[in-house]
Amino acid sequence: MDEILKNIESDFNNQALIKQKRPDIYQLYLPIFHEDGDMIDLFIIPKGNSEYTLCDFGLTLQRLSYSYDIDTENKEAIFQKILSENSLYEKKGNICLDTTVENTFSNIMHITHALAKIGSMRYFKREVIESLFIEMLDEFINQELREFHPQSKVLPIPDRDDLEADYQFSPNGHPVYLFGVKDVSKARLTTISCLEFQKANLNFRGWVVNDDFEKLPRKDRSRLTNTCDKQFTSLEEFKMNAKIFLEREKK
Amino acid sequence: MYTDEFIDELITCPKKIVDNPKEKEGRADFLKKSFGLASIDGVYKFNGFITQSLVFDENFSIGLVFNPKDEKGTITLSRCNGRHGGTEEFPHHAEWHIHYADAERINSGLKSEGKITSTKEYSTFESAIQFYIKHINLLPEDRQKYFPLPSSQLDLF
Repeated sequence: MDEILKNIESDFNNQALIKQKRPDIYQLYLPIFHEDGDMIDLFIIPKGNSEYTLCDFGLTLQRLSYSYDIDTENKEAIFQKILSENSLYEKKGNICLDTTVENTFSNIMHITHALAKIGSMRYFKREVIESLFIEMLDEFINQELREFHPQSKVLPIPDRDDLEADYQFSPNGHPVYLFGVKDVSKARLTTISCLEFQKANLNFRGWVVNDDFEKLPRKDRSRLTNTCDKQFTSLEEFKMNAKIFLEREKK
Repeated sequence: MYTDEFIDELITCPKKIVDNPKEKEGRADFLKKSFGLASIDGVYKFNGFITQSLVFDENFSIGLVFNPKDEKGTITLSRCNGRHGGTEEFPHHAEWHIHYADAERINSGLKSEGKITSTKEYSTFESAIQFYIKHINLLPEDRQKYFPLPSSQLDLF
């Protein structure tokens, strides 16, 4: 054990400190910190035959749980992907990487980087992802629906710059105006816009992609449904079916 | 824009429990309890959490999180931590310490609770919980109901 501990101190230019936390468990005090100023939690334990395990004893997931729990299949899948892509394994939340004396420095850097990645899963929180809805919609339209010649920020009534459609497709003569709706205020603006376009006798189809249809208040859902021609209840739904519906508009 | 005075008001305003502490089944080697709080005038809402490692008793964190009504997301206001390891300020010492949010960090979009002060207010997980519930100004009846003193301990004051 002494050999690997000395190696670590030397590899980190004597900026690292190693303290025994429990029998056969050594905590590494490395100059690597979380965003809140706490040090990354990392330990080394002997495994036998000159092999060792670097691990965190579940403290990364404990830290993540302050603001984010891995409590769904999707979150679990992302977590497992990070582990497998970084050649780590997990025992009841304890994230581990086996090492030898020779590879210790690179393995320490590797596992601390991976632990930081796991800590970053808090950015997958609903409110953060929600704010990306418009960007994700834009990316999909510009990458996957280019054959339908999308135009963005369109003014169907030129002198009404307060009534903007997010996108226009022209599959068959009449335009399809598409609105991305991620909250109540956008739902109301979309309803008003479609009603104004109808009042102006425009020949168009009004489509809506909701971030989460079920989250809109009941009355807003009704108004929107009664006004527009086609709604996608989520971005996923739009991604799956947009091409089919645009093809149908061609006929 | 947040100010340090407002953050202080949020931390110290009198609070009541509005959602009882519940233990969350964890996959990992730690325990977590979460609960809901509100200021007694009902203006502000908060979440509280208590986590403790099952491997190392001294690795715990007890936090207060602000849940603003008019903006998305939450802001961690303070966290009472055990002696889990080094910090940027004391890289080679494990100290009992408290993380606080500061206005500058919040306003510039950084992780809020980056101000760290070492503390002598508690020295065990249980005493940290007792410190926390007084620090965040939880109503005395809720302190007694949800976070009673361990039976071997007497509160002389």
